[in-house]
Amino acid sequence: MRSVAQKDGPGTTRFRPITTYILKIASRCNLNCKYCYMYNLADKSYRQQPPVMARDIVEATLTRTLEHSRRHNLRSIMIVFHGGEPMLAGEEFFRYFIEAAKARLEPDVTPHFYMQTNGTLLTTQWLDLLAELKVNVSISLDGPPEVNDANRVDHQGRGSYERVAEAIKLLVNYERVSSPTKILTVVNPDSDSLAVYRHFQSLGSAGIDFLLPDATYDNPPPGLEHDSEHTPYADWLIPVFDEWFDKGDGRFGIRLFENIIGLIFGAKYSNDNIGGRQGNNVVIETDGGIEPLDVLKACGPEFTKVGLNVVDDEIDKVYADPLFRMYLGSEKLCAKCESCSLVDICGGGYLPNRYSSSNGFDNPSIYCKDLIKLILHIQERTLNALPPEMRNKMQVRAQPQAVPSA
Amino acid sequence: MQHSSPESANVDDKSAFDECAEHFEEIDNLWVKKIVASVMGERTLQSSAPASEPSTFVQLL
Repeated sequence: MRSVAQKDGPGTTRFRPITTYILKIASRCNLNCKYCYMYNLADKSYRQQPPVMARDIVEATLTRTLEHSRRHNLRSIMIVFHGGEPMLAGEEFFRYFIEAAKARLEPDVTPHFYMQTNGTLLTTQWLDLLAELKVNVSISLDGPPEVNDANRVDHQGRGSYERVAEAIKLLVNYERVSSPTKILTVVNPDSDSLAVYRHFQSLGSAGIDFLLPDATYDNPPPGLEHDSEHTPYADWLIPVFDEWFDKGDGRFGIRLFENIIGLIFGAKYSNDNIGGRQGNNVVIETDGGIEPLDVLKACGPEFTKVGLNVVDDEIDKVYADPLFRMYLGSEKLCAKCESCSLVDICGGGYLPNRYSSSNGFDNPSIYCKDLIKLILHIQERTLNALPPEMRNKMQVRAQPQAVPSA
Repeated sequence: MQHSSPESANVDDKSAFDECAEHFEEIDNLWVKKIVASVMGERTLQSSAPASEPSTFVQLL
């Protein structure tokens, strides 16, 4: 097993301090997306969670973030309002939380606020509040109506596209918006990828990120059969990459592609779904539970319940928890990943995608073949875009061994 | 099942990367130029930071 956490010597592992807090301020959602890891995969623990984070939990959370930030000399942190649907917590909650956070943390630590929302509740009144409180907003949408509404439906089964598109229009045209609007989208391999990409461009957002469905070996993603040679996700993404790479104006970003190019050039940091770099975030549930990556809920019932809570536990305790150590340090990769020449770029992929109930995380990503195909394509296109002298000095290393299959 | 052997261009040799910097302005592709600049900036920050930066890592014994 391989570790990409920084090692200083026998018995010593160094992790990054926590600078991003993903706060589940509301544990319910007004949508019921078919693929949602919170509600419709392996874990149903939301049923025991308070619907909205209580004020004593907010106070405890702020106490723990300040304590951790001071201990590790952090001058700024990111607080991400998440859910469920975070806007279900209400406008009053947002004002209370942010005023409390600034009063408690500043001037030692500057908090920066973000929100990931489905957008269906967004109004001009909300935008005024979010602008005043300097909350950056990112929206979830999967593409044009027929693509989005295949999965992103409400509790009556109705598609959400119209409401979300209206929200994006509001955001894009809102003059006080504190940062460009970005969109998270889950890949649907049955859709026309270029049509999806062009649709997002037409909405006027600043960029998107493509997410692969939250799948494990126990619950494979749509269109992907184990041991099959098919690579539906790479085949979907590659035409988008080519159009973006060849015709993009340098403004409409696609985070997955940008991360892979950065990793090819040896970037030290990436997002947690590609690259295997050290993580720096924790999730705080509405009941104060301190948990690792929320998508790990896709792996099994109460999978992320590690027994830590902001009321009783300091944030530093996460470094002693095996699941946190796996996530934050990318501590263990399987033998197949170890022997793969692309491991420094893919990092084993997203941790939940490596899980099987029979083998734990000791697997390559269930998207391994797709990742290999996509990365090799991006690598080839990127290298060919370099000046010849630069390309020659890049020391491309031929790897004699074959890459094991997933 | 085995895949054909890929080559990794992951640049783990800092001096090789630094040599490339002199050709940076010759990069035509906007995305490559932008991302290489970002990685170069990251490396510059790293190289100018103290060797044992206390705020960057949590040390566990």
